[in-house]
Amino acid sequence: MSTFESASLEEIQSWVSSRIETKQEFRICGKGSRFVSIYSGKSTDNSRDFLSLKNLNTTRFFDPEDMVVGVESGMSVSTLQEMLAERNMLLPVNPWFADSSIGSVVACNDFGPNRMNMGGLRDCIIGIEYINGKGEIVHAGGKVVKNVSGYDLTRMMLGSQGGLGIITAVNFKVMPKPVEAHGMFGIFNSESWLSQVEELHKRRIPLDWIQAVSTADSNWILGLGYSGNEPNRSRIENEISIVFGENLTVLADGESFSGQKFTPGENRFKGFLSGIHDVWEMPESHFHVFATAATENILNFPFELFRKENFKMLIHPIGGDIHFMHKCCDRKEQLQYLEKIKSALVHPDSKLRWVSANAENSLQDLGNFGVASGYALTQRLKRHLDPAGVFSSSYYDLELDA
Amino acid sequence: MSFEKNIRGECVRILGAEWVKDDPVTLYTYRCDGLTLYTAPPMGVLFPGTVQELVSVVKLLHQHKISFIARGAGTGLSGGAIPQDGSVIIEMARFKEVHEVDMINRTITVGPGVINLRITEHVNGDGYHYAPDPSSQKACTIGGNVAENSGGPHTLKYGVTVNHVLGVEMVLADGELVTLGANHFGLPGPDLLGLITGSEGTFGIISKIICRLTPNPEKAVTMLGIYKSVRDACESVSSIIGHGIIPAALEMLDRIMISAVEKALKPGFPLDAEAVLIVELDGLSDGLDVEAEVVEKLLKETGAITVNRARDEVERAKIWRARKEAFGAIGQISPSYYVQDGVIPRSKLPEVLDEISAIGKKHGLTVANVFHAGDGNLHPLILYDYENPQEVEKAHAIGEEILSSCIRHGGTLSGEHGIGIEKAEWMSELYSGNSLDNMQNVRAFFNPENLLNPGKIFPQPGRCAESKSGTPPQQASALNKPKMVASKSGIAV
Repeated sequence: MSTFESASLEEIQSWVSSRIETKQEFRICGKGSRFVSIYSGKSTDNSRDFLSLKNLNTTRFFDPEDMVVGVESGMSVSTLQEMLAERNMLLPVNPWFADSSIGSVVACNDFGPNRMNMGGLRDCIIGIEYINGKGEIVHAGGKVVKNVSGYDLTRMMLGSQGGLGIITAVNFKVMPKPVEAHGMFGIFNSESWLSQVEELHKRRIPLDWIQAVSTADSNWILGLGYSGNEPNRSRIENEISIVFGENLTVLADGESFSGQKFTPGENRFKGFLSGIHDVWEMPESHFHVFATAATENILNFPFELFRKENFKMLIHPIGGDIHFMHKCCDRKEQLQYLEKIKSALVHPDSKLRWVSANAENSLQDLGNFGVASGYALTQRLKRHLDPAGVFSSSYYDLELDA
Repeated sequence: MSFEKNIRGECVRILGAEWVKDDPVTLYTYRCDGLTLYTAPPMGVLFPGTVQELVSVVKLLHQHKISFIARGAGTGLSGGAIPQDGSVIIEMARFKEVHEVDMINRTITVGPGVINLRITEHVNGDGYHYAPDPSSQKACTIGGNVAENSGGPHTLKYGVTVNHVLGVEMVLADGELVTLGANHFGLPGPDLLGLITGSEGTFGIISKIICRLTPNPEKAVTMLGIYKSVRDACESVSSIIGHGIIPAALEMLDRIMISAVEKALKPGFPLDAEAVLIVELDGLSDGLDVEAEVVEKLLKETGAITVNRARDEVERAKIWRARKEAFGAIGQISPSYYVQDGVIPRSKLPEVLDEISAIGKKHGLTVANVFHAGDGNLHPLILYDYENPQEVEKAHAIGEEILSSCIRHGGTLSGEHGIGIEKAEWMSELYSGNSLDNMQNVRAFFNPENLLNPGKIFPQPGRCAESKSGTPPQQASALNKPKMVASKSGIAV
């Protein structure tokens, strides 16, 4: 196993072309911040080589007046966010793992809590550069915020998990930072907050995010994010108080809640997931599955059962996702937990991804929960666009029931 | 080109005689869509009413290598639904069922033949709407919107169609039925739903759509900035966005458009203004007036002579009617118009608008402008007389020079109308050979025999050989040298 890395797009293209010519598979990695073994194949399989894009990390352009930016894939999300923050802007994607590269969050179609109000990568990606299955550099989309000129190959590459090509640069439209970001926080010793969140949802109050996090002693911290000028915020606080009573604490962004490490410093979500792993003392191969589901399914999910089994959870109930974490590292036990989650999710449109697991676990364990509808079509598209079969990604190799 | 007897018989067997039409009036009716520059009669028009019928006719046409096109309301402005190879048109008007409304998940599942505005009307009583609002929303269908990835004035804040479609059911070129997406975002794997949105009917025929519903804003404040120069109005746009305010809409009309809408609709726009800027803020009522005061100040600082606020819903509706029916109003001052849809970086608005004005003057024709200023999405309307061949040629030349200007300034060919036939030849100006080949390779995956909506999006060397039902050579050459005809439909964007 070897790793090729370069800061030169031409050198990378040349290396990829030679791999295509000789039909030698390889995996793509950015800054190596995620669990590559699960996304790109079993870690025990060391036969494939790596292409690292971490040195491909320059800014192609940043036009603050037009609020658009183009960067290379190896740049970390936090570096980009820092650059944008200097102009009071942001990309509405929270770097769960602070060092994730742009290429990897695009390849995995990541998003964060403020997707609820601001959307995710899907809503702000406007252009892409990638190396295709013929070794050619392809450009799609552009630098403008509205564009229907030809096929949207930009979105085709979003979430492609390294299987359809090598993403080398991405263009985004960015957003102004929320005005006076605030949050209301409270501790709950039961799941009573679920019905209150549903009530708030029905009142159509424009919140920036909603997040519930298990505490170390099996309670919940619920946070409700919002922003705006003072009258706007007062109204939102009033609406929240009507639903939740006077039990929540108002904090400006940057202020921590009751000394909890769950509400970290200057940006509430920067590196949040890495931090929470530390707080919960999760071992390296702990169980961590990420579920996406419709709001209704989340609001009716039996969280109490999982809480009593010592699961730690992080929930974005509206529109919506759940992180399930457990200290157990044993494969057999992890697979039992996985089956429990599958049974509880009920709706076939609910989906699962591994974030962390025993090294022997694979995407295959997720079954139909691990793939989107139209999976067979996706597999055929992969074979069409990567005829030499060099872009190694286990997402496309699963054997599933029709 | 007409149906072969056995094909027609099979279609009648599947759909029933009343849903298979190939009479001269039908063929004439379906010879074009909202872009009337190019016309070609279809082989016939089929009206399936169920998914099973749709699958059956697609399989039949695929088996006989007959090209076909799905069509909604025919309001498209880039010729995406023109049957230029004598294709069969599959009219989706009967797919107008609202299948399911799910308020907790904020979704509505509809057939592709449902008219855009009907979706909002269906859920408005519950406090929701469907956000993309092309100005043709009273007529255009949601299926067509997905095919073209349509926009509208409120996409600045709320996004375009791709941001509001969660899932589709689609029939592929060989009749295979697939489902993409779900009732929520965040699915694993490549975003094929995003890929097919805006693919102009070349990847499949959509038979069901899950749309996102957006809560109605509690209050909207609509302001009208009046300017002595277009450049000042552009400065206001930059200033608002630069201050971190994203209005629901930022729309501009220039002097010629003001004159047209005043004659037709009398919204009360001052005739001596060079430009008006419509700014709409929305959200919770609390704090909105504070934000409106900030915007008003910014407008005045950047050159607005006066800023008027709509005092009630009647005044607001009057302003929006003027904007949304502006294209139709052009009939008051010109026998015909040709509209473009280029996009440029917002910061380039002043210089590109100056260029457009100069291009018009150079050719001796007037160019009016009404456009989505916040998105940099231009809609120059080239005014000409369709009975004057010289003006027709000039209109073509102006359109091409405008597109060239958009590309030169870092923009693109289309923001919401699509490429269709109209701009297919321009794609090679925008993209490298590799990039275009790659797009065509994706088309070859979904549409390997090019039976689905042939002749669209890409430059067409030797296209007559692309399908069995291909247009006879003389008809093809006529399409390549189209005769521009009247475009007085008033179909707006």
